[in-house]
Amino acid sequence: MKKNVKSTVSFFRLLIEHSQKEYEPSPEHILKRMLLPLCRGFSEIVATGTKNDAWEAIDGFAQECRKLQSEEMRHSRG
Amino acid sequence: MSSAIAVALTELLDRLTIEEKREFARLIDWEEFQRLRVEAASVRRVGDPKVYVRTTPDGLSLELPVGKVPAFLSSLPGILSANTVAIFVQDGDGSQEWQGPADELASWLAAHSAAWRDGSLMIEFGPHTLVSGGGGCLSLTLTGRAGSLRRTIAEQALALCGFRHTFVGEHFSAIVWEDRLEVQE
Repeated sequence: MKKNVKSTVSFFRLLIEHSQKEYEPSPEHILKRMLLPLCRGFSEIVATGTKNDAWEAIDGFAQECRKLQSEEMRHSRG
Repeated sequence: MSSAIAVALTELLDRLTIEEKREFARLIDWEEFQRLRVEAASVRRVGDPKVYVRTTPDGLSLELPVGKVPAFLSSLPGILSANTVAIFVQDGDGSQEWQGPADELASWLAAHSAAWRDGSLMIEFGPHTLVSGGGGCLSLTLTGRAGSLRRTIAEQALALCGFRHTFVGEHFSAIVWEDRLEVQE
């Protein structure tokens, strides 16, 4: 996996982590520390990446989503 | 009564001396106040704490004062037994990569402060990966014996910020609001 793809997936994970914190991060924090890095990652994949890079990014997001769903199920079971 | 008032009352009580608390207790319905304290404890605070460390399924999520970031990052190769580091940085102008000996990380960080202050930064310490969106917001993904590594790194992060705590559990969080460390394990 190329570094820009890995980085983009990692910032998606960081966004998920912030949804699970004990406090509510400020909107500015979400924007500057997660959304703007995600935007940079998307832009570079679109500008210089291959179709395979785009697929790996989506696949990486889906893996993070599966982890999130499995955690949510575990929490809902108590 | 709104949750905000409950939180404010709790904070007020925490600041009072014992004598002042006694005087306060004479002025209000104590049972109602205890109920409000329980309510306040369940309310999620809004804003950005001074320091935050929490275990995640893959590693650690951290919020550190931005000035502590270089020292924290420079400590990781030793803890993670990484001899080399690979760095990937993205900003508005594109991306750059750098790879080199771990003992050159501190000088790289000193020469590229924009990368950890406000850029998108990813550092690979062997199989372990850290990302930062700047401002001290960090996420570390660990592989292998993550339990003891998580505790060691979390304790190191707190120590750099002037707080001491020894974690014992597999899952924990530590948060600092207004210079007071609150730990959950």
